[in-house]
Amino acid sequence: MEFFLIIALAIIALSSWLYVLRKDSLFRFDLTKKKEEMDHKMYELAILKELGDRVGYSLDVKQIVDIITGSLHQFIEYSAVSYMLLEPEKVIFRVHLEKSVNRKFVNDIRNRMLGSLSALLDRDFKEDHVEEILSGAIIIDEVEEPVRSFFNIPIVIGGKVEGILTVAHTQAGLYKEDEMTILYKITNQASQAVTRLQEVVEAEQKKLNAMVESMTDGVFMTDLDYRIGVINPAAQKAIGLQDKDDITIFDFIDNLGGKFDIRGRLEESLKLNKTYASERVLLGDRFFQIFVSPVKSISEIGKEAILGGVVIFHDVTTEVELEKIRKDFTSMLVHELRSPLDGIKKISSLLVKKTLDPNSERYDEYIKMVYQNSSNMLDLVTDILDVAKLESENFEVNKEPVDIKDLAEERVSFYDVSAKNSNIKLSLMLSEGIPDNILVDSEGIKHALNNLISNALKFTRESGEVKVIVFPHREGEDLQVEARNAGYSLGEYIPIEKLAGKPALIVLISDNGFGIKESEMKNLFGKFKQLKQNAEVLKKQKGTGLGLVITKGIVEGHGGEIGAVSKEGEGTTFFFTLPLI
Amino acid sequence: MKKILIIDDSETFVKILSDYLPEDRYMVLSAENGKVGLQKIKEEKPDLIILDMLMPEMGGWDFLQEINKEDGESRTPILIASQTSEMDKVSKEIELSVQAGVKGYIVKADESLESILRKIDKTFEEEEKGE
Repeated sequence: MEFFLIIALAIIALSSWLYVLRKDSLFRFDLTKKKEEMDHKMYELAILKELGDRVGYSLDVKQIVDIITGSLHQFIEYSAVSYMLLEPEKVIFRVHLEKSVNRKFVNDIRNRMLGSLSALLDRDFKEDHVEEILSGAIIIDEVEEPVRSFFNIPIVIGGKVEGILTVAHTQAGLYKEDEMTILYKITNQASQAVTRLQEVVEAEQKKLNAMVESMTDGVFMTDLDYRIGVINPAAQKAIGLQDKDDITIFDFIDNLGGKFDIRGRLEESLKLNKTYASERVLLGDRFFQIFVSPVKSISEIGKEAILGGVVIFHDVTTEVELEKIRKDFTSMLVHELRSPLDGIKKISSLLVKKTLDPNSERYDEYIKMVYQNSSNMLDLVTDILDVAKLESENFEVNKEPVDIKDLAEERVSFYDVSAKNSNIKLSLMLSEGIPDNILVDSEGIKHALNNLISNALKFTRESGEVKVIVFPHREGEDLQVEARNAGYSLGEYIPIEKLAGKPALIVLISDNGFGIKESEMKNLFGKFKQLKQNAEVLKKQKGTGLGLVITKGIVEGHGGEIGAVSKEGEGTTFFFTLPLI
Repeated sequence: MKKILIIDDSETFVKILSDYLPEDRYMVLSAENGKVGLQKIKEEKPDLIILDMLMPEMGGWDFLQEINKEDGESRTPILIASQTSEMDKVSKEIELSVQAGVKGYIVKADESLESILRKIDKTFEEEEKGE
């Protein structure tokens, strides 16, 4: 029994030992294989990293293959490593010799590779020009060893065969499936990486192109020889060549004429590495500011390289127009102030010299003129100050209880004289239910009514009619119906939008005058349009026309809304609202 | 007696100047803008025009352009009377002005009535010498 036990133990021990032994060898075998795999993996990674580092975004297949072939000796033995790349006009054939071989050896590789390419692409390459580049060991024809081991790996980028990579050796039976697989994998991975990169770059390129295309500024880019690489439609439009293909720098030189020395500025910008911004240049009917900048790329070692130049045509026509409007407006204001001031000065100089008889009719006339001129000036200065206040948002509304019916009556009777002089019927229509006292700035509302009534009188023909209509808008009621009931008769929809059903007092100043052109209706109260209009209005009409800008400020200061509807030839209605509550 | 046409929208300026110019030598007419001015020239055939630049309806520059459109070699002499701000334009539009018969300039705010009268007298003297 004991014997059995010992035997059993011995067997167990032996088998355990055997097991361990076997396992150890298995383990060892596993380990070597793992290490090899690791090495290959590391090599693959190293190559891919190197590719990433060195190639960057160049997408140069030749450079990538150079990197692979240059580091291949780390894990594979060969007499020659070579690649062929297809280029538009030729085939590049590059051979690196690890050891000296004869000419026949090289020719043999070359023919085998061309044969493989033909098979891969189903095309005959015999007629193509093959550009051969040899490096490494020299060719010695005395060496009489032929190609004994050889294998090809196709270089595929984006699904397209771009070339072939080949390893060859004078020894026979060298390349096993393992090595071929590894090399295939590396090439494949590099190709895939390039393909992906290419896709990313293409997508980015598309985005960039779309951006450049849709830019309102004209843009084009040149290389160091001033060849235009990228150009957008706006740049072509700037020189009036929107329909021409293949624009060159000479098109720009010719069409910019003496206005802008584009060649000189590009040269200067590239040489001095500086951006140049031009003065205003008039091209056709538009003004441009032209910027010329060098295009730089920064390499991984932080060194700057100038690739070419970029030219931007920035359209500043609107700014120029605006500036002109401002200038016209200022000179108009100056004229409006200077003219009465000059009159006052000339009259007072006559008074100082005592050339006028104080009891004469002329004396009285002159005194009246001084009064009239100074009043006009004061009104204008007040208007200018009001506009300045509006612009700096310091416009104050001092609300107090006011009977708007009284205020409206007073204003209408004030303008009655000038209306009668022009044979215009001026009437006031007050609806039922207007509160006796509402909180408004009486001076402001007076000013607003003055502006709107005097405007209406100005733009109404003789024997025309101007109606001032005041009515309360009740919650939930149709404002258009209320307006008609209150006496509004132009028939156009009154676009009051911000009330949202809340109660308010509505004031309409409605005339049956010339009406306002639709193009002028837009932005009637807008500042810029207003300025532009003022300059034009002056030519036809006395006054600065600042009234509407100020009136809008007053109404909005009350939380109200202002606007106008017009029908050419039938009349215009200005309206404003004053919220009740 | 010479006829002077003042084309100016400033009632004050027209009034003071016409009062000031000696009645025994000058007869003064006026027009409130270029359009009315053109009409008055046809009707009254003035010997001298005093022309403001900034006016409603038709300003001075448009008026000069209209004058240039009309035939006739001997143009009525014109004195431009305006504000300094318009004088910048005068130097730019000198050709138009000369063609239209502009003989001199009056910068309103800088010149007294006496100086304006002197300019008017001088213009007539030179016209007579020229003829």
